[in-house]
Amino acid sequence: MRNDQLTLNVNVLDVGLHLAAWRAPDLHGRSFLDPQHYRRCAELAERGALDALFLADVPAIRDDPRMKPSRNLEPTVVLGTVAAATENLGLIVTASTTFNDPVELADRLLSLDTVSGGRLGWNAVTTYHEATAANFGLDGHPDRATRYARAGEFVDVVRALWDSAATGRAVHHRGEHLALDGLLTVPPSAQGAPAIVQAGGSAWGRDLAARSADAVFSAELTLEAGQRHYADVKDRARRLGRDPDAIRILPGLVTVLGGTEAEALARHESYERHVPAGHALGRLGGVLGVDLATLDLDAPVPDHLLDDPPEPERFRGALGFREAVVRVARERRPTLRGLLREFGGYGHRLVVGTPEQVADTIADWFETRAADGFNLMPDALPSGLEDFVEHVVPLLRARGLFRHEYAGTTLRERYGLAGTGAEKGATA
Amino acid sequence: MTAVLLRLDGDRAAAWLAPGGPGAARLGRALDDSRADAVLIGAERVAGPAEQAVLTAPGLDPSVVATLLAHHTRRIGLVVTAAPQRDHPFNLARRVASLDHVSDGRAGWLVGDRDLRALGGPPVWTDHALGTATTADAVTVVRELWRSWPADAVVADHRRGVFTESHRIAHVDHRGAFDVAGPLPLPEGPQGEPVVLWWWTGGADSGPADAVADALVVPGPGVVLAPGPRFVPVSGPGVCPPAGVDGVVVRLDDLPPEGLADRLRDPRDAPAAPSTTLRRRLGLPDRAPTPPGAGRPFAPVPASAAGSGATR
Repeated sequence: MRNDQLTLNVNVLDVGLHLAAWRAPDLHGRSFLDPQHYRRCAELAERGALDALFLADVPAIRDDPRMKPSRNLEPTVVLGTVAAATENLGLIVTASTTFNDPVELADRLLSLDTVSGGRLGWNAVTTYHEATAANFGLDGHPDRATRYARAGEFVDVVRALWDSAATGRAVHHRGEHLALDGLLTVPPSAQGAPAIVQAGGSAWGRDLAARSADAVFSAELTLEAGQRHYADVKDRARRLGRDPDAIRILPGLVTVLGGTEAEALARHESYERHVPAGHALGRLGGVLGVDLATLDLDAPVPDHLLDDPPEPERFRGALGFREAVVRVARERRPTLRGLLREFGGYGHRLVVGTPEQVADTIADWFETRAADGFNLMPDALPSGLEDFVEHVVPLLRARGLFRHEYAGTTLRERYGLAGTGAEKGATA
Repeated sequence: MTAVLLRLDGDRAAAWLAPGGPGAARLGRALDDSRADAVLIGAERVAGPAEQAVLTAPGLDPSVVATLLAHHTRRIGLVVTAAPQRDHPFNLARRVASLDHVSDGRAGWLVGDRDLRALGGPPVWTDHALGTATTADAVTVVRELWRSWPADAVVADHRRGVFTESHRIAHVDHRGAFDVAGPLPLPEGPQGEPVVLWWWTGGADSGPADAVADALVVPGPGVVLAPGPRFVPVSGPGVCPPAGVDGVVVRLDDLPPEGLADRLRDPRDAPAAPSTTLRRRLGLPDRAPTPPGAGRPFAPVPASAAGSGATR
């Protein structure tokens, strides 16, 4: 049975999603390195009874450091300090299957799961960022097919190693990409082992998710596309013999909140005015894998630029992000300017508005099966998260869509919970 | 004054921190109150000779233990044990540097040639054999990475619209047992470079370790003291170091953690120092500053020194 409660994670992208978030008046220049900043976000999330705090990651400099911070601190270190400062909040860490060793990673993640009382989730990614390979002595970035083949094997091995900690039986693995003998000796975690999350939007990523994930982070810009992605992953799971309701589909949602629509727009503009001309165009061009600089802003993007890359396994960007943009461009035929507005420069859906408007769109996506919840990406942190917890969460509770307090201590319990009387008390 | 390093092996860490144990807050308090200079977390992984009972008992990843303790301590140094065997030096450099940020400059790395826990096996990221040369190369590249992003390059300048002066970040372009381009995606932490300790098991000629590590843990007295400090493991409450070494390593399970201070420290010693970096606490010199232009710049120098700051 489908869980009748939303899953809401907050994606703590340093000091916020927006390029200019570091200018927020409640921050200092080094907030992105300050454990107190992350603990503050965690305390707010826990006050709102959100499911989990999520940290994205790439083991290299990803965004231009001249413009903004970008995932600088190592995420298991941040989550260790967050775990020490919280009691119930789930903790989801991104770690690459391409640039880690499965034994070392399994040991570290299970240790964090155990000491946090069973609150950890692992977002297993293959890492599509090009420059990372050179940090690990690899000549070229492994292509997508290779990355996903290794990822499938890697996730299986990590799970087997987690089992070994409970059973005491060593893992002996000889595969195409990995060969190891290992036995973990970590004391048991309250949830057995970390939950598994998957974030890849390509066909390979969706298969990996359908096979092994407890939750999927997706990037969809429109309700229709969201519904199709949702149905697609659930179908893949069903075909593999899994209960489709056991996978939570969580698209990214960028929120810019204000007491009135005008206030929200003003807040958005206060950051947008610092974005260099051409920045969003460059990001959109990067997502599509084409140069958009010479195109007419007031005409639709020419069809041939939207065709599938001739060799998807060689396409360097993230296919999931690309497909989401292509769908919008093909179906609505917006001008390039309109597409830029829709895309927002970030690849995830952007909502600028009042708490009511944000609650409406969340409820709409949930009720029409485009999402089981969201990975929230506030424009600036902690202020955007505080506004969400103070003003949007109560509206979702009043509609009976979101818990009033935590029930169950582990992340797995939380994701798997069918609605209980206690959690449905919201409609009162 | 003799330095005192506590050894918190994985089995002891698990007993404290696993569900049902006394917990990280109490352990943190006991460690700070002990007035020891640093805690070597998971030292059994590299400490020879191997002790099977400790190595096969339930344990916890040292960096995870360190991050919890960073929240629950204010004074003691937090030293993470790792061998460059399954852990790539790039990932290690980033984790320890991140720990330095979240602990206000109290991070260190205890390195050894191989991980003696069940995490053994052949090295994953290099064709070179495990041993002194490979360990030395890992330490070298980690320290290069720690210097790749100067702390004061982060300017967060609202007027110029510059967050980091990215042309001051440099690649490391290291070639050796490990090939690493860098830079680290992280500015230097509060102590510039975390402290590197090497648990030395390689015999009388410790030259290769002296060349790259800040200090060594050596198996016993009688080792030439140069150039860095040396620490010797000792047993029980008799923590007086032999002549010629700079400090002692005391196992936490040899002593009940509460009331440690009375046994570890001569009451005539100065009172516990206020919060300071681990490097200062151990009396280690600050690293020499990296000369500007030492490495291939991560980004070109911007056309206008004042920043073009084109905004719309």
